[in-house]
Amino acid sequence: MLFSESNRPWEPVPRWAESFVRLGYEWPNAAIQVRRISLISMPCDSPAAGLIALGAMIRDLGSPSANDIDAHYDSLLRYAKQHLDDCRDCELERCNPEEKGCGHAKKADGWVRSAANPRERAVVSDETNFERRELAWQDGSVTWRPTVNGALRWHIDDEPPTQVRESAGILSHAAYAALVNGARILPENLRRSFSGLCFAGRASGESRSREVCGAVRFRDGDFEYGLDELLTVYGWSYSDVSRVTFFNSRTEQLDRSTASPALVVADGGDSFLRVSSATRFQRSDVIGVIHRTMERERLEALGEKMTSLRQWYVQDEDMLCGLPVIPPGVSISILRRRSD
Amino acid sequence: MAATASEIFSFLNEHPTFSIERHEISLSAFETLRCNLRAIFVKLREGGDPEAEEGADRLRSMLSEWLTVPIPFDDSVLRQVEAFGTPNEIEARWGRDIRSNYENALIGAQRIRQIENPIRTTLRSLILDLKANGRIFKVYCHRTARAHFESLLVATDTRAFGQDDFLHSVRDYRDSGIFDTLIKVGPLRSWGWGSAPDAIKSAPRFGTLIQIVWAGCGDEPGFGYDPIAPPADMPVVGTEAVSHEEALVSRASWTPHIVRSGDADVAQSEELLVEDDFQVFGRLSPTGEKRRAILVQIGSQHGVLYPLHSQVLSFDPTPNIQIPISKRLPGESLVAGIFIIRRLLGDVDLGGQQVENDHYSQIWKSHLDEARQNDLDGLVNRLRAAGIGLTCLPAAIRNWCVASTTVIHAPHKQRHFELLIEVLGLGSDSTAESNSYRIPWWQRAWNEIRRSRGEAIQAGIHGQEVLDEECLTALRDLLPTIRKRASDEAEFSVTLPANNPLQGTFLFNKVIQFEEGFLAPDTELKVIRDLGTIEQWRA
Repeated sequence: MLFSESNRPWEPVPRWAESFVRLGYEWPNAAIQVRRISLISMPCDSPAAGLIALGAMIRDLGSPSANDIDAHYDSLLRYAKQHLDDCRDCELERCNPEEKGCGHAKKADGWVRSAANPRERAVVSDETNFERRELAWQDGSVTWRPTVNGALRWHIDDEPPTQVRESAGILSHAAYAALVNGARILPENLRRSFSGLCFAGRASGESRSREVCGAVRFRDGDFEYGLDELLTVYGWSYSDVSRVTFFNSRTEQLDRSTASPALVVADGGDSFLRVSSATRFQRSDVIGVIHRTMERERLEALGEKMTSLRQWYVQDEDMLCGLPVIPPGVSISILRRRSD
Repeated sequence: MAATASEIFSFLNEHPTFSIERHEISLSAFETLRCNLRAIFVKLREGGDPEAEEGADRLRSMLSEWLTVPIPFDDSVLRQVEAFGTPNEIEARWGRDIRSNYENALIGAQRIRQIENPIRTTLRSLILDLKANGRIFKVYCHRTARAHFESLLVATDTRAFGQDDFLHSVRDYRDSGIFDTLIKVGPLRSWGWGSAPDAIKSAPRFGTLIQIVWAGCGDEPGFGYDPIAPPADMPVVGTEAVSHEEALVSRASWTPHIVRSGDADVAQSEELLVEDDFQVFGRLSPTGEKRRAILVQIGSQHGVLYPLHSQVLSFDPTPNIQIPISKRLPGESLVAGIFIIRRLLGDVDLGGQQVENDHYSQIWKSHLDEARQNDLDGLVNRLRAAGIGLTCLPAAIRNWCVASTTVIHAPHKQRHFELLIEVLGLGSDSTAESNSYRIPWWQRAWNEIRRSRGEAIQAGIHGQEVLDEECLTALRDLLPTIRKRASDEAEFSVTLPANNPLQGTFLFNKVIQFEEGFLAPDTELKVIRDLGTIEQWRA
């Protein structure tokens, strides 16, 4: 696998980049129920957050439970209820869940789309019966009442499909396998979306976050991939499969209606501060990546945040000792929630 | 061109240690001037009257500049000191004791006129040496200090400095490539006069730091701050990863090398300067009534101080940008080239009939409160049936019942308010009062609410947000005009049309650059001042 950053010549993947992919890959998965918050300070601005998220994503590709299939019907029911009960009659002209305090991640406008036929769209119907867990949506004069299995062919509009059938939309096994030696990858996960891992972009917005990730490219034989494409944030790659949710730190909105992700990788100081304080991520592990080439005020705000966290968290020495060799100029702090 | 992460890591791998060459310079004439002015500063600060405070601020600015900038020792130094007045005037104003210090300071200022500033001779020699050896170096300094560096080489045959040879901000440093040597005059401080980014020490992208300081000027403790690791002053061996109590740290180590030169008795200097000038300034600066601020420079001579972390209404002239007008953070989302927007608004009147105080609201609030006390569930059901689908309706009703203060608590949407009045049965009565107007009762009550919100906006209580929203709406309507003006001018104003609920003018100024490190009273924030005036607020 070759590596290029900001259009510089191709070279073998450098050790620093490997270290961060490996750190994400080895981050404990959600099965371990102790919340951790980590802050990584870098000597320069870098795409390290994206690389860590990529490593964690490759880790999830090997987990049989890392997909949105099982929770899909429940997810649609939640979406329908949110639309019918709240969003349909919301008085705010522009959706702002934080301001309203409604507790929702984003607006549920009621539209669902067919994964098999993307031109087919329907809207959640009042005939949905939540007590009997029966969904219903309306497409012109047609009323759909999908079963649990039938619902798999529908997904929330503007969100990734639960799984794709066409081979064209399947993620590349070779690309991910080449990035982490010995990575276990389940073929079925390559066509299924997953919402358990979140990439929180820079406070400057989604475009800038994508641009930073896109500056890093990998080449494997004839194939070339940008880090942005490999992350599979919905809308960033050729595939409809999305295994990384995106949290826009500027607008503080998630790109999909989802339960709390198990891990959030935050890119930048502002992003880390927002994520580590957000109620929607209070159960998630958080890895923040910052660089030290910023003003003292901002550095101190981060230092104060870490100090305040130490009221409830302790240093996770076991994890620190088990980390791969860290690149020069990098500092890592990992805090684990106190058990007492 | 900015270095990539791979280039930086490769550089750090190749440099197990970095060196600081610290040149400490002393000059007895300058020591006389410096120590006496500092003594006056302390006495004036302790005096506490406004005139003394102003004098102390001037002294602090003068001394801070001399200690961090390679100024030439010419008549201007003496003139700056003499500007305080004659010794007689000083004695009349501040007493005999200060007069004595002042006279000594004048002697020092007169003596240094005969001498070239040794900071400059040392710098010149070091720079020529670096150039002769083909070393790539950069100078970190304040923008206004640049001319003093450039003047160093005027008399030599050496090529003057290039555009990229100077770094003036953390952003400049972040965007720089890798180089051999960084030159810094004055102590390493993260804040105020002569400040520099912590990254210089915590994230070096050069092999050697050449620091030229006056003897007795110490670096700020903890400079090179890393939010998750111990202070950079802690010894770290090589670039090996070391597990500290708080984190796993792999940081480059620094090897200091100190060169002392000059004619002053160092031992005496050290005795005199047990506490260095900047520590004294910091200890005796009244910060209680001032706020940390960032300078947004507009034009070559003017700027505006904004409180740190404030969101500034601004216009981005970039074509096709999705949100051209919004609030931005100076130095982050608000960058050079964007226009700050200031507003000069007349009385805000959001329309509606002039109704005295809260006449209508007292009526509908009492009806609502009565209905709530009698049967809250029934009221909620009736409101929902009427079409008010708010999520937390019971809580909203409680809020609407709260007695009016400066603002009338009421539904945000006009339609919801109309439905509320309908459910309360207030709109159907044809009372004498309602007959006196040709508009429905609910409409008059709504106008009263709108007016109260308008008043609250002016009072700045309810509604900075409401006013901002109104401003944003007004500005978006004016976008084509704004774009056209911004393409031709760096400074312009746009007046709101007569039919707009807001009346007044928006002023646009293109941002040149930013600078942190100011401490200013509230009265000096968000107003345009010339840069000379702003200098006094440098921390």
